[in-house]
Amino acid sequence: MKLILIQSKNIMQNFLIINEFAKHKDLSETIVIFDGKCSSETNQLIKLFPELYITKLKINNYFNVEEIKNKISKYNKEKLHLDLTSGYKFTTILLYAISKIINQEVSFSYLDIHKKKLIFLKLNSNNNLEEVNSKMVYKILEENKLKLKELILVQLKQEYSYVKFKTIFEVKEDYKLDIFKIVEKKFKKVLYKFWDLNKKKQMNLKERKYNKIAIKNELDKLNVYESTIREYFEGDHNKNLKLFKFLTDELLEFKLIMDFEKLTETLSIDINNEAIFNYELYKSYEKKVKGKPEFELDMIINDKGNIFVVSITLGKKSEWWVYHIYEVIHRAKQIVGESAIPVIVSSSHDINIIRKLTNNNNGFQETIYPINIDNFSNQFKQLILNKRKECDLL
Amino acid sequence: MNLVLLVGTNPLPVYITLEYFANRYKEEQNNTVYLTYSKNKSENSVFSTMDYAENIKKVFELRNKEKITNINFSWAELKDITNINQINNDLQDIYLSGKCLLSIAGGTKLMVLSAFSKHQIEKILYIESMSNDLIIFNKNNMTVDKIEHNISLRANDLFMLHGHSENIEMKLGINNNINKYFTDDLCNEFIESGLNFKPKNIISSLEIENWFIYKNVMCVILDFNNCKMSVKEIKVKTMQYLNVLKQLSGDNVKIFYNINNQEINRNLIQNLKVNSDFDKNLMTFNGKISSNILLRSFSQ
Repeated sequence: MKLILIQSKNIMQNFLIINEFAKHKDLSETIVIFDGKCSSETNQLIKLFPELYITKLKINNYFNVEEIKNKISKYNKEKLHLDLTSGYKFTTILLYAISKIINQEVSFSYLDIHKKKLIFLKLNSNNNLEEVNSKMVYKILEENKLKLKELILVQLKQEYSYVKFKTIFEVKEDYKLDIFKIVEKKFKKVLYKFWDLNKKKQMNLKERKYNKIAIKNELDKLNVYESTIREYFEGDHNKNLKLFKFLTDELLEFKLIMDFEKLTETLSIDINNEAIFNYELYKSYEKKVKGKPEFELDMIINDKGNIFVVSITLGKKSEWWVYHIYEVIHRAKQIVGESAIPVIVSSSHDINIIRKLTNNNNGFQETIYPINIDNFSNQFKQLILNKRKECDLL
Repeated sequence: MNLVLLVGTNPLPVYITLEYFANRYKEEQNNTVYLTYSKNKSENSVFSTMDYAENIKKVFELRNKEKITNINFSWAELKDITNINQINNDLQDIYLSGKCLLSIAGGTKLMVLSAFSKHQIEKILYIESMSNDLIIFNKNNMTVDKIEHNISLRANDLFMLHGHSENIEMKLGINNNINKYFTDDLCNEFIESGLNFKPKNIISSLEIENWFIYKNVMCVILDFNNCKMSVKEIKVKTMQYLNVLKQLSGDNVKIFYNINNQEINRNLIQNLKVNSDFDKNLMTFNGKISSNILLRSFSQ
């Protein structure tokens, strides 16, 4: 069997499709049709499958019937499979019409981006295309053991230099080694300040315990930090709002990572392979410029083919949200492609601003999902479940 | 002759095909246009395109009210455009009388593939987005005729196709600088800068340097000369512009940057490369936009 597909700017689609067909024992050749604008994408795609026999078929003009007919006609005696996902609608129709005429033994497929499934089609007795079978994208990912990192690297072009991905474990290690040192000074100062502010107030047991541990150990050992922070965040931090206000930035970020870790257990997301952090971007971000976010961190999560790009953003002035929302969407698409699901995690105040701005009635064309940081676990879990439902994955 | 119009979320090319059809077959009697749209199916993120179908009909009737047209409109609803078997069933129920043309300027690939199999379909009409030519594909002997269409929409028509008829407060006018940039016949319409461009319900108002419609595409010139914005800020601002422009006129928009700072220019081009959405819509220039730049952007 010969597999024919068109290469567009999007590499991910053909990457998935070829992975699926590469398992077929009778696949003898893969023919990639492309034009001059997509030469580099075609080369990138071919490099990903060194074990396959892939032929490049360059077309000068996708609207030239004779050219396409001449190039395809030589496969008239072969068993053909034509994938209809990529390319202009007109070229798809052209290839479809030509293959039907030149070849009696032809089958078809189409990758449905909305339902995240690859549909297998054949001609029925009325000469209509009908769906005979389908396969969910996550099944293709599972069967081929494709990891999120590989998928993203497929999508990214070489010049996207600031991407450096880390797993959740690596990020946690960095916190211990790097960020906690910074926090140490700040945290100590904050705690003493907090102690001064609250020494006349009556504290509950938890607060006393917390302060007792913290000050007793002088916050000089990293493991004490971690257990203290865990204890603090596992408790009801709303009662401790004053302290909470001081502990934004790095510690809040750390809390989110811990929340997220728990969430992945609940939802059976493999954090080794399906959750990564766009770490380099965070490190290089212009944090200190007035009016810009104090920090940002992207989490990227693959849940059964739904890829979420979560931007954690705090400390932003309201007028900047208009720009920042576009920035988050743009970055998500750059990293993952058009099917990315962009999510912003921020404070309740900022979430209200985002909701107002991105309300469809306000003419916002793109889709973005704002999540309140105070209810991160529940809201993000609900979003993941809703997306699974949309793709009939429940 | 009859026409099957598949309506997607970009009504402009569909509308142009309709105008072409009305003009080409004006001598024939009782032409029927089948406006084929998708039903609302929000759980799959597929929106209903019924409103776009209605807008197309409305603009067509408004633009052609002076003439007596011989076109009847018929409505065809597709229940689930992500399921080709369902599309086949829905199209089966639509009675197509006589010979038909099929416009594939709109609609999804599955809609197109399903409709293509209807035996009444004789030819296919398609708008090539780069050149904006109308291509006619003869289904039986597979030949293509490219027709440079001469249908020019005004800005208001374009906005009305996107449902903005009552909401937009705008002032159109011939810009005094037009001759500095183009020969008169290059643009259908050149819209003065600083106009009251505050469409209701749009995320924020924009102050656009200059904008015009060329080959039915909304083109915007943004002047970044002497600005102190970083490349990132320019990029983000561009996204905001694109959002508004897409709402006004669909995906077919172009942005021209006027940038005299070579370093910003170079960085911007490098930054934009990574996003294919931007690649086709953006172009930088320094000084005054010329006919050559304009034509080059349309032949990319």
